Order: sequence, then C-alpha cells, then structure tokens
Amino acid sequence: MDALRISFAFAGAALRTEVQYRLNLLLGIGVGLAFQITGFLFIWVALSRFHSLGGWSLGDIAFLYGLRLTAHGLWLIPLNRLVELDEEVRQGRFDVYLVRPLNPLLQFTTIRFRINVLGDVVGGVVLFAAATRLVGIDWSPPAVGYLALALIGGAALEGSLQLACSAMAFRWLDTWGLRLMLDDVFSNFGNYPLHIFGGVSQWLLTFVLPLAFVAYLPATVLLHRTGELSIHPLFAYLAPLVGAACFIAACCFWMRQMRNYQSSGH
Amino acid sequence: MSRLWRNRRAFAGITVVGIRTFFTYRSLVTFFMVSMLLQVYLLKVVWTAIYGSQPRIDGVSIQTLIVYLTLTNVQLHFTFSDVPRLVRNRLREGQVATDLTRPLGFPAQLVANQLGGTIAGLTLLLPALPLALFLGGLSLPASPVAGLLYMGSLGLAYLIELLIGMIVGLIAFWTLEIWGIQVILGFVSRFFSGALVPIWLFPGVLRKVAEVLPFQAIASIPASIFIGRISGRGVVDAIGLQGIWIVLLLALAAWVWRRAQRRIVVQGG
Repeated sequence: MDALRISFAFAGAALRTEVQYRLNLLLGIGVGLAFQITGFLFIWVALSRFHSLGGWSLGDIAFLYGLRLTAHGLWLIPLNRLVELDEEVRQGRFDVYLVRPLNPLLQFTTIRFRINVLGDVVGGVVLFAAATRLVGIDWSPPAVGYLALALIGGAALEGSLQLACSAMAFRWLDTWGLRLMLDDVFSNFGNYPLHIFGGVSQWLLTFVLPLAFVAYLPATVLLHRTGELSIHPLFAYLAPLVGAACFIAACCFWMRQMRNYQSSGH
Repeated sequence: MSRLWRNRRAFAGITVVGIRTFFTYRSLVTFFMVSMLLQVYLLKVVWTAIYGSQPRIDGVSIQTLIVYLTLTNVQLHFTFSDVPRLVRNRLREGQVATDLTRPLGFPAQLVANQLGGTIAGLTLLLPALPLALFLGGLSLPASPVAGLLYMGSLGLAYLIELLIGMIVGLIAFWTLEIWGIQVILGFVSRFFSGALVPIWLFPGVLRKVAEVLPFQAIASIPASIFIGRISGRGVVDAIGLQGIWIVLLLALAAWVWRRAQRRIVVQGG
C-alpha cells in the first residue's frame, strides 16, 4: 500500500511539472489529436460515399475506433515513460531505481509524465461518445460492466506488448524501432473490423499479435456482431481476461529482463 | 547560379555527407520503409472491402486504384524531404554559424544534403518495389508516353516537396522549435496529397480544399498520369499546375530566406 501511495505522490509531482509549460502542453495534446483525426478522417471520407466497410457502417467503425483509441490512451497514462527506458539504461541512470526501496518498474514509470498522451485519451473519449449516439447501444448494466472491463483489458494488452518490447532495452540498449513498429501496426490495423483482412492476416492478428482482443472482439460483443466471427464467440467475451493475463506475464518478463541491466558511465 | 558552379565540389561533398548520414540511421530507415509497406497493404485491404462487388467506381477499377495507392505511397516515401529536421538541428546546436560562413550558400547546402539522402534512399527501391508489388499492386504505365510523362511529373513533385521542406525548415529561424508544425503538416500533406483517398473520391468541399493546396502535386498528379486517369490535354494542365507551384514556392522560399538571415540567433556560438 505504501508503494502505491508513494507512486501516486511521484505521479502527482510529475504532472504538476508538465502543467508548468502551458504552450508545450497544448502543442503536445494538439499533435496527439491531429494524428488521430487524420486516421479517422480517412475512414470518414472513404465511407462518405460508400456507407459500409465489410458490412460495418461508419457508426460501427467510429465505435471501434473510439474503443481502441481510448484503450490506447489508457495504457499510455501509466506507462508513457517506456519510450525513455532505452536512454536511461544507456546512460546508466537506471541505477537510481535499484537503490530505492520501491519496485523499480513503479518508480521508473511514475517519476515523470509525458503530457501529449492526454491528446489520445481526449480524442478517444470524444469519438467514442459521438459514435455511441450513431449506433444506439442498449446500455444495460452488464454491457456497461463489459465495456469497462474491455477498455482496461485492451489497455493492458497493448501496454503489455509495449512493456515486453521495452524490457529488451536491458539487453539490447535500443528497442526504439521495435516499439515504433508495434505502435504503427496497432494504430493502423487496430481501427478496422479485422474480418476484412480474411484468412492468414486475420488469424495472425488474433493469435500471434493479439490485436483483435484490444478492440475488435470487444466491439463485436457490444455491437451484437459476434455472429460474424470465424472463431468461437467465447473468445470475444473473454477478451478482457486475455489482456489481464498478458499484462501480468509482461510485468514478470520485465522484472526478469531487468536483471540483465549493466550500469554504465560511472 | 555562378556561385553554385564555382562551389560545385563543395556541393558534391555535402551530397556525399548526405548519403553517409542516411546509412547511419539504419533502424530508422528500415522502420519507415516497413511502415510504408504495411500502409500500402492496409489501403489495399480497406479499398477492396469498400469496392465490394462493384467493378468500377468513377471509371476506376479496384486493380487500377491499388496501383495508384501503391505508387503514391512509395513516391511519398522516396521523395520525403528531411530538410526541416536538418535546419532545426543546425540551429539548435548553433552549428548554423559555421554553415553560414561557407562560400556555398546555406540553402544550397540544404539541397545538397537532401539530394544525398534521396540518392542513398533510392538503393532501397530494390527491396521496396518487389514488396510493394506483393503487398499492394503495381503495373506498367497506361502507355509508354504516360510512363515518360510520369517520370517528368515525378521530378517536379520532388522539387515541390523539397521547397515545402525548405520553407518549413526556415520557420525554425524564428521559432527554433518546429516539431509541432512539422508533425501536423505531415498529417495534412499526407491526407491532401491523395495518397490515402484518391482526390477524385473526396466529397465536395474537401475536394475544393485539396485542389487549392500544393500537396496533390506531390503524389496524386504523377500517379494519376501513370494510371492514365489524367491524359491528353489534362496532362498539360496538370504539369502546368506543378510548374506554377514551383514558381510560387520558389518565390516564397527566397523571400523567407532573405528575412531569415536577418533573424538569425546563434546558440552557444
């Protein structure tokens, strides 16, 4: 409990630091938003004349897009510091976390905050809210509960893959390309109903790189479209569990890789 | 021009530096290429799903559209201008002071550097083209003449991209930081270049916007000539439009450069 309290104190201080630089704050959020707006603009323009993509309407896809984007923003809130791990390991700055009596992963992730991730969260929530009006979902208590679990599960899943990739920094010192590639695949492919890829690609995006569990499968549940899945609907209902399991595994993996850390430069 | 001729060896020297720099960023370069190829694949799948069973939309078959999309994305990748990043870095570190004392002007140095990067980048066409053919789709040009006109139009597209990069880079003389402008411009230019949705499928207002922006001249015009969507008299108009953009952007770049020289701040110098 103490660990959590200290982590929150760290995170609060980090947030206050960022808010000091107002223009930078706005610009960071603006850039995050602009990226997502272009992505959605593409779908909107492409569908403005043709109305459906693989049987999904613009509203359905906006719903899926919003779901993924919110999950994406959610994993970035606690783990946005991962992009800086390479540099800290290379410079030997990781030493600090090893000598303090608090879990190094918790310390490392909460000591600073990269504000531009808020752009993704804001974009995701706005898009999601707008899309729910278009698709008319019946928000029964189980549906709301499932949505909350799916968002956390989706965030945990993408976060766990990024966590696992970043952990390789302890061995390789450079994971930049790998993390960027992962992010690129998620933010491009994750926003589409994956059945349009068909066959091998769809299977790969479900069972090898489990992108489907982030938003596509949960969206089929909430939109009552599990009937069109080529896999058992149970996979869709259990999507949040996949995220949780991956996250626990990724944390263990990260802590294990941390043992390979070699301090440098002192 | 005579100044450039006198300093031709320096120009060549900086071009070689540009080539070498490119090859030191191997992981970055690989990432951008793989990302572009995945984008091509994604566009193919999405547009195939949108077409559904319709054989043609606005007179364009899905096969031709895929060729167009593959071409525009490969083009944007290989004509990419790295000038803004270069200017920003030289300014931030104060190295611009050295650059300005060289007999070869600063803009010419930027062009030489960019040229080096592009030459080095072209070596990647060898793996990129077969992969683009596999993940997207490529074909021969609509006719041999269309092929030749395409090459010409592509050259002009490269110049336009270079000039836009130059203007954006020079903004750093005022603001020092141009990362935000660069990123946002990147998204805007990508969208309005017609590399995601072909401009002929843009809805009314957006199409008007796309037609008055220079970005269609970077990707859409050459690729449309290649697939034969623009032909005959249309080619003259399209290449003429590219020419007009080059003149306008050149004038703007020259004006910005004259003012930038008076704004210079050398950090740590």
